[in-house]
Amino acid sequence: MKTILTFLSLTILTISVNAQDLYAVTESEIKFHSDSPLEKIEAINKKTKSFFKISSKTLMFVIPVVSFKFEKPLMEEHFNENYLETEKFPTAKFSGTINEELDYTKNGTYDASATGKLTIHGVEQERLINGTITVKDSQLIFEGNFQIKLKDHDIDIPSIVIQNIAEVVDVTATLVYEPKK
Amino acid sequence: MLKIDYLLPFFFIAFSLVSFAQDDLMDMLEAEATEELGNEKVQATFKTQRIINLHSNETVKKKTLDFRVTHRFGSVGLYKAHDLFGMDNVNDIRISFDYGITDYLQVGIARSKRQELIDGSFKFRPFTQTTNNKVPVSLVLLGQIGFTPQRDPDSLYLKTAHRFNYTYQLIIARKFGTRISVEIAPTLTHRNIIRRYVNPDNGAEEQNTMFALGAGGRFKITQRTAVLIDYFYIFSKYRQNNSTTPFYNPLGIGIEIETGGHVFHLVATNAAGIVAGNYLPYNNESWRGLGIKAGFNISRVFNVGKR
Repeated sequence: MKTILTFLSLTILTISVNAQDLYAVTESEIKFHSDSPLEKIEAINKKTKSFFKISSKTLMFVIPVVSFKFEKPLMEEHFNENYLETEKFPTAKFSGTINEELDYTKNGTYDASATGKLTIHGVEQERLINGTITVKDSQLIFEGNFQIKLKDHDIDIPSIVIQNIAEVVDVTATLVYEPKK
Repeated sequence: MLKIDYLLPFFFIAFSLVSFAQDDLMDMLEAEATEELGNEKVQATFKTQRIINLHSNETVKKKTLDFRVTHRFGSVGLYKAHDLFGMDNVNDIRISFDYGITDYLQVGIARSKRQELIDGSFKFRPFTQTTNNKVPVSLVLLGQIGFTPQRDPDSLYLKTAHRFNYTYQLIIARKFGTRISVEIAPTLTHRNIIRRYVNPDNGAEEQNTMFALGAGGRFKITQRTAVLIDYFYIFSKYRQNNSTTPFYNPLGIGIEIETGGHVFHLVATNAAGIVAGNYLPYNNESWRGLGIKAGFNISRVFNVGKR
């Protein structure tokens, strides 16, 4: 009986240790814009789910692609139906690790980068994403900036709208983390 | 020995906690992200408000204006090569403007060549199919009032009220997967004045109010092209086997091409006219009798103000 009790308390302890190590996103904003000669396209997504694990430096996020909001409703429909094919590929994801050794107990803003696999439109690409990590008390704020070449992810732009859509899309991501309860 | 057996489950728990790593986290995230997705509304059941003759379940989105030019050439078999199989003639032309007050409610005005019909309409979509099938179909209500200002040499329109006709429609649509969309549409049309003709073959009288059942579908071939079909079955005894004035159910087939802000339909149909108030009660031409008309629907969407 005694052994079992010790074991139980030990497992509970491990769980709580795990919880402090693991951060989950509380607020997120993924923005992309495409500047082309004819049209400026912008969309925002606030539904990203993400974890960051300090001990293993693991960073991963999943973006429900259909939740990107556009200014023009027709753009949104085309984005989902013709370009990202969200019914077939509902999510975009990133799974990787933070390259730097950082002290997450000290407030401040640090340059950081993440290496990992970025999957968009069902196509996986090895990527390096540069940005900053801000430690603000119990919060961690990740900010990143990167570009996506549509061709890299098999997103076809028909020649008829080639003037309207840029071949390279700029993405800005802001993710706010708090310890996962 | 007994003790170890008891402990075994705990070893499993401990083990699973240790392996609570990358893959599990990713699965958890995916599950969280897609759980919220289940309630997403199904998009693009049809690409535009109309299939061919039949209205689709789509409405114009909020603060956008759909400008449409719909054209039907003359019947292929009437003059054959002499009017280039109808190309020199016009069966009907319709210019329409539809505006989205919300994503689920639109109002529109239009004018057609046939009957010089001016019509006002609303389209309301209280239910939209969701990806998790909690709402399995989209439901749309359509109401249309037509007014004909045309000259009246035969003194049919004795009162102004006689110049009005009405169409009410319930559209039930569903998208299956990414390629196939179908709908059925019980339809009621009412004309305030009619000539009370009698079908000599069965004695049935012409009626002011008629019921019809419309059905239509879209099959997507490539990212930007699709095949369209629609059909109406008209429930009217007067119109059945009428040897003096034959009537036919309108059938349309077409090809859809989408190019960004435009949607083009190239169609072939035996329907007389473009609005239900014309093609349901007055359709005297058939596919077999070469009463087919070539035609097109063009839709251009404009954004009016910020959303």
